Amino acid sequence: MTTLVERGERRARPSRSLRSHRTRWAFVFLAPSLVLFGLTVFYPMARALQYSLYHWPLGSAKKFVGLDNYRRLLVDDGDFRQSVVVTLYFTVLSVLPTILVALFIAVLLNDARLRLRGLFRTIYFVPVVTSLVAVGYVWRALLEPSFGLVNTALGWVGISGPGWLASPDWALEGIVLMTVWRDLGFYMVIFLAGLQAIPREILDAARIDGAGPWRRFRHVTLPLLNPSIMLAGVIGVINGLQLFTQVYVMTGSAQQLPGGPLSSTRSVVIYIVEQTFRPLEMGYGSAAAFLLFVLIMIVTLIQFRLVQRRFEY
Amino acid sequence: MHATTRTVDVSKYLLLTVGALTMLTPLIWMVLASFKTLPEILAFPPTLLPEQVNLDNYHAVFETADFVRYFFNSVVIAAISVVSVLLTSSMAGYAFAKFSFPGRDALFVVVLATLMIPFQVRVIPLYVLASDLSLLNTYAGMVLPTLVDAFGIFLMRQYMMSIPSELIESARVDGAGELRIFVSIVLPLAKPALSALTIFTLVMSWESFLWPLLVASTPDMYTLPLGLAQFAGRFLNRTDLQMAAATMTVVPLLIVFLLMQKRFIEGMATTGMK
Amino acid sequence: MSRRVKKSAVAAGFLAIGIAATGCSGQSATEQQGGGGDGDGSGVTISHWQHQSDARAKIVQDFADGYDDASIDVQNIPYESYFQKLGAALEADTGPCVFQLPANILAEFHDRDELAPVPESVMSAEEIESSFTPASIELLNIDDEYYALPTDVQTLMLFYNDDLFEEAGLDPSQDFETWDDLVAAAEKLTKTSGDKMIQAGIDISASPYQWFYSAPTLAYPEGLVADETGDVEYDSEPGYQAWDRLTSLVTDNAVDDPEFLAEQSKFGLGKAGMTFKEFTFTGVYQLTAPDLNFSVHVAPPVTDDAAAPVASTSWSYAVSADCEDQDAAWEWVAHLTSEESQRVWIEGGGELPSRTALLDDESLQGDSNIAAGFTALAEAVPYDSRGWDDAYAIQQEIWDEITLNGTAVEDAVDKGAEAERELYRTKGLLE
Repeated sequence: MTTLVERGERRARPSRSLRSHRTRWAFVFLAPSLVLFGLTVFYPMARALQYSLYHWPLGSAKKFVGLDNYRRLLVDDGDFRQSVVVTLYFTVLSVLPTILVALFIAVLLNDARLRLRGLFRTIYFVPVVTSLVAVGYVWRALLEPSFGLVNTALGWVGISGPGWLASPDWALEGIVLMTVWRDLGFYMVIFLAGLQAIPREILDAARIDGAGPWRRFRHVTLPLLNPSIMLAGVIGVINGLQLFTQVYVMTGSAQQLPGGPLSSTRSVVIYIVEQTFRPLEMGYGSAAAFLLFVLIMIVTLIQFRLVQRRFEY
Repeated sequence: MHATTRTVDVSKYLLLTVGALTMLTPLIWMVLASFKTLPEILAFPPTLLPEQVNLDNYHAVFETADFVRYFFNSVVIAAISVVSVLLTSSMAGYAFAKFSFPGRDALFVVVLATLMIPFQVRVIPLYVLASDLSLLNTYAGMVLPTLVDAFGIFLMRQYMMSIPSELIESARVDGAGELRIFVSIVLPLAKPALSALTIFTLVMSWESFLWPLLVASTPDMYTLPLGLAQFAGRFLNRTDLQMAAATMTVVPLLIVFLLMQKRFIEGMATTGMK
Repeated sequence: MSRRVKKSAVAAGFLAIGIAATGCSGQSATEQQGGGGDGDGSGVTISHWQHQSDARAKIVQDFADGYDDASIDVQNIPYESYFQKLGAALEADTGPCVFQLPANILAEFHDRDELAPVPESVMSAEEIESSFTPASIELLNIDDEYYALPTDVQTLMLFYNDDLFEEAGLDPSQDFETWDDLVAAAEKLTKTSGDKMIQAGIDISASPYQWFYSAPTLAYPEGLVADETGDVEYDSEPGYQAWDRLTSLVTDNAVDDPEFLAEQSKFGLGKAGMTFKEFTFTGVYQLTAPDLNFSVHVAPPVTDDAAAPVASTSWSYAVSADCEDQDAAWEWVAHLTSEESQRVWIEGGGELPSRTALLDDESLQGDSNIAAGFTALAEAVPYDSRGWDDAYAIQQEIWDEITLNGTAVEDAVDKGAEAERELYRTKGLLE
């Protein structure tokens, strides 16, 4: 079974003094990261945890409320619940297709005889290194319902396109489309790397045994690629559950608050920012953030569980 | 048989080409828009080619904002972040991959868990901290949240696990110190992973907006994304100038990626390994 | 996942909690950094924050460069991030001396003890009241003291596309008398092809807020918020009527469609007969749609028996209570809002003066559109919700519920008003 956390190599047990010598060096190597994490992540997190127990208007007197922020979020706050649903829905809707399409393209590109392979690879990766603000604007124009390129193209094949960002039923799907476009190259690279690590001999052996391309893919390539798929899944879910920037640049403007129409794209992080920076109050948003953190933890653990059961070999 | 292979090949290229064009469309649109006038960009239905190629937007960008200075700041900040992330990640990744010590796996989980915390949550405490440390409006303050990266540590650990431990052991037997082993054996072998990490850190640093906005308090400390945001007003977005500025922001990053991409792919090779 | 990893995860959780617990005790003492420090010449540096606008950035920088009494450090912050930056600065006490605030949330900042009043030595209350229009200063007075001076005053005006009006046989020089007249004209201006809209009678769905700010505010004699109770009252007649008529433009009259040129400026593209916008859009359209032939008018009252004809929104320049050189800061704000400065603002594009004296100056009104804006300002009343983006979100949701979800007007409005009350309670502005 593979996991992100795997035991390092175990060698013949060294002597105790050698072990403590090694441990000391391990912490020398870890020290810079740990100090910086402490300063820039754990300390601010601890403060945020503290905020979450208060009613804390920025810049003025705070009031201790215990777990009341959490209680309100979990019991009273329908908007928060809705933002959780939106976020989970987005994550499923974006991660699965991105992985499937990226896998498909990686398999196509993994053919040494393919001409212009490097060029294709570069092009598919390019969206990863572009400015989200700039492409967010472009995507808004592409998704415009009456004249936008996407619906125009759908019109060519006889489909009457939906309202995308203007419609509460389709806005999230519009964001999914942009996310798939943007992240495809990243996953493709992970899969390409995984594919290239598969020894030719195994595939050749399968061919000699008479396995067709689909069977070779299904029974040889796919299982061997499992660690890469797992990694892509975990990263995808962690990023998906923190959905923010795409919504911010595609549904918000100075004339319109992000998260609409009708809260259909209001993710948890958008909600947190809304609850913090509009009333300029830290407590409630921080509590929501910790609930999100727990949610991400749980989903990631479930993922490990599922993958373990499915692919034990 | 031959004919089928042909058809398969043709459809494969067709598919890849259509896909590639789709991927490029938004970027091409951005570059072409940077040569258009504002009414032309806002025209509907949208046009692809500019009526005439003129560089007015680029001139205007340089007139309204000190883009050379912003570019310089972005480069400085990206450089510090990249060096710091490469250093901290390779050191920590090495410790996680090649040392066994009590609590190692738990610590690694803690490090990975930091990926699950949205930045928006810790931004205010971090800002107060930067202010307490008198780091506001300094390069040190601007780079604070991007000095260390859990994904980088993960990437380096995965790669370094593929380095044979015998190499390290034999160097130890030859009497090499731990630091020397790290610098002269481990780091050179990890070059592909370092390249991959460079690209990711660069993209992250180059794009970051909220933090530099909070920390910078004078225009001479602005970075490119802050410069870009200067063309967005409450009632009017100067999309024409934004596209010119965005093009200038994105192109350097693309060039770096093109130069490094070969190593980059190799560097990703071990991400999915055990 | 292996058992050890699960154990590790649990251990990690405890570790995180441990670190968190130790972190809590570290309440930091922050130092004031409001202003002060050494500038050039005069020795005083005033930090000044405002949200980004092309014209404003240029004008204020020119003022700062030519200002001798203090050195002014101007920072233009993108509008969408303005409150994030302000919030972080409030918490760390690193805020500016002078900053821009929407006039209708000045009271909230006053409640946070963030504001210093205008000192007598700079401008007395009588002086302020005789110099500025009532609409621009009404919300700046808290407990008989002024806490800011006005800027960026915007009346909400009706824009006609004159060419489309003439094409539809309408007279673009006339104001509408009643709401029904406006609807009738909008219907004439709407064009469809098959079941698709190709020209909107009125551009409202992409940015309806100007109208849902204005109509309920004008419907009540005291504005959106009752002076006595500090409570919203639009969940009653005539508030219902206001919301009903506005949303009917989309749901019944079908003079606009949210999916037609979604989020694009239909009016700017010449695809809408009318729009309802801040006065400053005269400048925006001149720049983005130079060929557009438009005129600016006072809109007809949305509700029967409206209390005033025109609503306005405005911002203000406030001085931080933490600023070390408050007098110098106020001198600078007074300079920015002085009569001479406002002449420059008007020429710089799209700003209306808040000085009464300038409204009567005919030399500034060469253009009939500007004249219309000036006239409207004299009779305007301010949009006075006690929230800014947070209240806006609530009101936008009322709009979306009715137009996109088909919710009954009264239900959506009742729910929205209750949410706005809850918001005021959270802010401590309402019992």
